[in-house]
Amino acid sequence: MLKVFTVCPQGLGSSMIAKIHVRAILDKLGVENEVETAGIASIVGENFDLIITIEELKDSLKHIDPQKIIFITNFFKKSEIEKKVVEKVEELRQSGRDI
Amino acid sequence: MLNDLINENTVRTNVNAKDWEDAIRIGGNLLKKSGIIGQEYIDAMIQSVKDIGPYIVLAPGIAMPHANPRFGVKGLGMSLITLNTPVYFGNKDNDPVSIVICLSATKNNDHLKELSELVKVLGNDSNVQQIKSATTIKAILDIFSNVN
Repeated sequence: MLKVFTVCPQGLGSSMIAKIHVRAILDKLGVENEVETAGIASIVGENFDLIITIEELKDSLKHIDPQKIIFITNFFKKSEIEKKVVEKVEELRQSGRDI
Repeated sequence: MLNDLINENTVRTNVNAKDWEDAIRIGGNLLKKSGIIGQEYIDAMIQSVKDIGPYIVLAPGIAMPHANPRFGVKGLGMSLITLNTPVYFGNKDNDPVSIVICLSATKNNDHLKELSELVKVLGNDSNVQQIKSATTIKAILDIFSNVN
């Protein structure tokens, strides 16, 4: 199970679009997943494997392991998100994670 | 359905906006006229960019201004304007912007279906080019009516 938060300032726009893509990508990879949108304030204290977000929130996410964060610049084209998510899933699988 | 939101009242082509704030105001006013939002929400969309940054420029040439529902949002709404002269939001990857889609949503998830449909349309480069070069509202509505 891969627990993912898609994060944007409101939890309404880019995070919602990212969620649509990420779910489809993980399903295609056969990775059991739970993808939730979140505003930047609401991930404090939550457990997760991965955060998908925007560059503008980099400073707000300083306390989080950079390995767990993916930054996206194009939300309408699936290709950028797909490339980055696939890389991350391969990394996790190589490190022995059973997903 | 996205087609319920993107209609003759919420789409304008060849708009003259003098800068990004003006573009948000023009797009926001289309929603305001429909009664879905008030002036407070338009101001909040602009303030959000000033406070957080131009993150609402979600892809090359495309911005999706929105703000928190607590600023007087009465319902799900989307407006789409295309600009004669592209404007700069200050987004290093995706400026300049010539398609501005103002979004209002009442809460999380109530607009998932409509955004999925929007992604289908705007994930296709040929659709994006056609929207940018459209000179009539009907031409844009035709592109959206082909979704699904």
